[in-house]
Amino acid sequence: MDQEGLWVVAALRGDQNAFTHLVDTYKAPVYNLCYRMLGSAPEAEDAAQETFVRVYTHLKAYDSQQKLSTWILSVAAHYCIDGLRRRRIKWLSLDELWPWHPLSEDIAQPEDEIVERESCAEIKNLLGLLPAEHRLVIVLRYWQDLSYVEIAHIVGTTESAVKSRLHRARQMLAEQVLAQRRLEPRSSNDSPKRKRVVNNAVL
Amino acid sequence: MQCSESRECMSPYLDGLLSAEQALPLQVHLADCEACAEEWEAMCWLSSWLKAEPMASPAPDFTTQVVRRLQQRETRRRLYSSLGVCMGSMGLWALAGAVLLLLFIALWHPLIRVALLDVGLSLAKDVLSILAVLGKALCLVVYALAARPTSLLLLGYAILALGLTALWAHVVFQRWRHVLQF
Repeated sequence: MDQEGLWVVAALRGDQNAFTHLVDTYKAPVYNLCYRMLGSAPEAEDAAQETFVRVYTHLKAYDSQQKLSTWILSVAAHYCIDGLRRRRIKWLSLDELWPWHPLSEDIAQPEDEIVERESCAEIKNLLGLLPAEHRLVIVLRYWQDLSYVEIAHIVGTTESAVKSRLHRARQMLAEQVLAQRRLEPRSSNDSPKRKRVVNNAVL
Repeated sequence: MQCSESRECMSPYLDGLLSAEQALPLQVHLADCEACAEEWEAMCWLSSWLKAEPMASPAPDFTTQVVRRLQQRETRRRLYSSLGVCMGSMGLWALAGAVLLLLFIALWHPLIRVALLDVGLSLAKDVLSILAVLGKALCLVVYALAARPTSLLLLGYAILALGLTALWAHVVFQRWRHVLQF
């Protein structure tokens, strides 16, 4: 049995110290998943913490044949989807819908930091336009770097359904990007963020 | 290849799931169709953008917060289970009291006894008879004990029992206080 398995066994016996090792190991992917799904840091923090509480209290239900990371992410994904379903529908303002905001000139911050924050906000807005199930497959594919089969296990669906959702999600995002480009003034194409992204492009 | 087929192939191609033979018609189509080429370029751009985005990081005290939440949950669980036991015992005492009261009424109020018999509750009658016998026996035992010189001993025992119950309640209260300190 590997170290992770030993921690699980100890946590099952009520050893919270062993469980903290599991939390330390998986807090980053779980928090990232919650943040990308919910789009707000406080909500993501709460959801990620609640995910680990559920993992601890339902650890008996964990099948050791399954990958622990997959199971934990599955708990987080279902929690986020349920949370989004409960959340009241909000009408987004046009500014929130707009994927690219012009930088306000009066903020005195390092350029890289501004670019990073802007990029993060733009991604958040773009992901916010997707239905929850489609957003989930995008997050699992790009940030967790999981295969279609692993995503299918987490989401609780078939591999072909994952393929279809991913395809549809990408199409929706691409349509959004194209629509924005048609409306965007040509001058903003030279923004630092765009330059950085183009430089980082890995096809 | 049609535009609809081309769009179907874009996502698998982006994930490297198409073989060279399968990808060739798509590449040919993309070279010819401006709309599809534009969509493909947007998809590639988005894909590289998302890949470049780092993972969001939780607060530094995240693990501590999870542990605190687990302890709070455990505290609540213990509190509710203790309250459940207390409420359950109180409920049992209340039930026992109600049964005794009913027994008393049934034994000493002929109208109710007659009413019970009149509606044909033969089972209730049997139960009533048994309870009446048991009640009378209990009364006789208590009376006999009280009439004896050992009644003082009995009283002392009752006081001791009450004292021990109070001590137990104190210990339980201290334990709750300790649990609630989390």
